[in-house]
Amino acid sequence: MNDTNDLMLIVRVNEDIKSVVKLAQSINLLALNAILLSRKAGNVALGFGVISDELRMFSKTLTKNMETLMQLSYSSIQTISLHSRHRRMNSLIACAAEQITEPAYKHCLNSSLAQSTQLSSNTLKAYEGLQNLLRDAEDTSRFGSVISRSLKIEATYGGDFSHMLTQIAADFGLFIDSIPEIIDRLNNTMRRKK
Amino acid sequence: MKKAQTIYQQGNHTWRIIARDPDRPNYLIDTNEYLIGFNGKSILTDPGGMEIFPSVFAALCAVCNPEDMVALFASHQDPDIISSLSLWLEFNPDLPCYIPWLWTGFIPHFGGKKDTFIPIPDSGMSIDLNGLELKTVPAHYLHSSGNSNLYDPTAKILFSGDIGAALLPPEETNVFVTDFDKTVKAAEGFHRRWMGSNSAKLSWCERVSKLDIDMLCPQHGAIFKGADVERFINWFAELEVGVLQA
Repeated sequence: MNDTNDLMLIVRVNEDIKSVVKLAQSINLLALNAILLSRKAGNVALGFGVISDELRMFSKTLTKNMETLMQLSYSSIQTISLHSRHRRMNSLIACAAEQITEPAYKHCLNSSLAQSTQLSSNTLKAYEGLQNLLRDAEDTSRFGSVISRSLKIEATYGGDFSHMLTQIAADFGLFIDSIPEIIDRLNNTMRRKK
Repeated sequence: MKKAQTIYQQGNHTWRIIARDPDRPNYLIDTNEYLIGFNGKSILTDPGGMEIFPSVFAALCAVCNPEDMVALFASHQDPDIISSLSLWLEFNPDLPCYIPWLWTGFIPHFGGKKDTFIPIPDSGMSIDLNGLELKTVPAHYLHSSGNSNLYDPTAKILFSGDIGAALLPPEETNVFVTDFDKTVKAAEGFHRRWMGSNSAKLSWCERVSKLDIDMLCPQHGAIFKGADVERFINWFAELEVGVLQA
C-alpha cells in the first residue's frame, strides 16, 4: 500500500475515532439524565442508579481512551503527510535520475530513498501505537455492553418509572451497541495496513 | 502544529481558520488557511505551501473529514498559497481548484491536470458550495496581477488574500485584531511594497466598501472584525502603495 492510500486510511481511522468520541459524549449525557431520573424514582430504581453511575464512569474511561487515540491519530496524520510529501519529492528525483548518468545524482536518489524507508518505519510504528491503544478501547467497550444489558434488566424493576427507565436503557443500548461495530472497522483497517 | 478555530457558525454553515503554527521554522512566513463548510461539504482557501501541508492537513482532519472537501480556492499563484497542490491531489486526484485564469498556465507547475483547474474570469464568478453561493471578488494587482478574493454574503465574511496581511510577531497569537493601530503599523510596509497599483487599490476599496462585511480575513496576520473592517478599508484607501519606501 502506498502512502497516498495511507493518508486516506489514517483519515478514515481518524473519522471513526471521532465518531466514538461523539458516542462517548452522548453516553455521558444520557448517564447524567439516568442518574437524575433514578433519584426521582427513589428506592425502586436504586439499582438502575448504580448502573447508570457505572455507565458514566464507562463513558469517561472510553472518552479518555479515545482522546489518547485521537492524539496519536493526529500525530500519525502528520507523520503520514510528511511521508506523502517526501514520496512526491522522491518520485521527482527518480524521474530526473532516469535521465542522468551522473553518479552523484544516484547518490542523491539513494539518500532520498533511505529517508523514505525511515519514514515508512515511522508510519508503521504509528499504526502499531494506534493498534495497542485500540485494544484498550475494545476492552472498555466490552465492559460497556455488559453494563448496558444489566441496565435493561434493572429498568424492568422501576415500578411506575419502568417505562421511562426502559426507554433510557434502550437509548444506552443503541449508543453502546454501535461502538463495537466501529471498533471492528478500525481493527480491520489496521489489519489492512499490516 | 497548526490548529483549526471556528470563527463563524450558523447551523451547518461554518468558517474555520487554520493558523498560528508554533512549530513553524521562522524562515517560513505564517499563513492562514480558511475552511468554509456548508451542509457537510467544504472549500479550503489558499491551502498553503508544500512545507506546511502536514500541519494544515492534520489540523483540518481534527475538525472535518477531508474527503468532504469539494474544492480548493487559490487567490493567486504564490508558493505560500498553492505549492501544496500536488499533495492535496495525491489525497484526492479529482479535487478541483479555482484559480484566476491568468495563472492557468503557471499553477500547473505545482501539480494537477487539465481538468483540475477552474479558471476565474477577471470579472469574477459565483461558486456553489453545496447550495451556498460564494462570490469571487476581483482584486487584481493586489498584489498579484491576477488576484481574487472570496466573499460569503450569508456569513458576511470576505477572504481578502494578501490584502490586510500583517507580519505579526510570534507572540501575537490572537486570530482577531485586538489593536488596530498596531496591526496596520505591522501591515504598512508590506502593503506599500507588495500592492502594485493605487488605482487598482482604490477600485477595490470602492467595490468592497459596498459589501456587507462583518469579517475581513487575510491570508497572513489577524482578522479585522466589526468596525475595524471599515477602518481598514479607509486606511488602505489612504495608503500610497507601489513604492519602495514610505
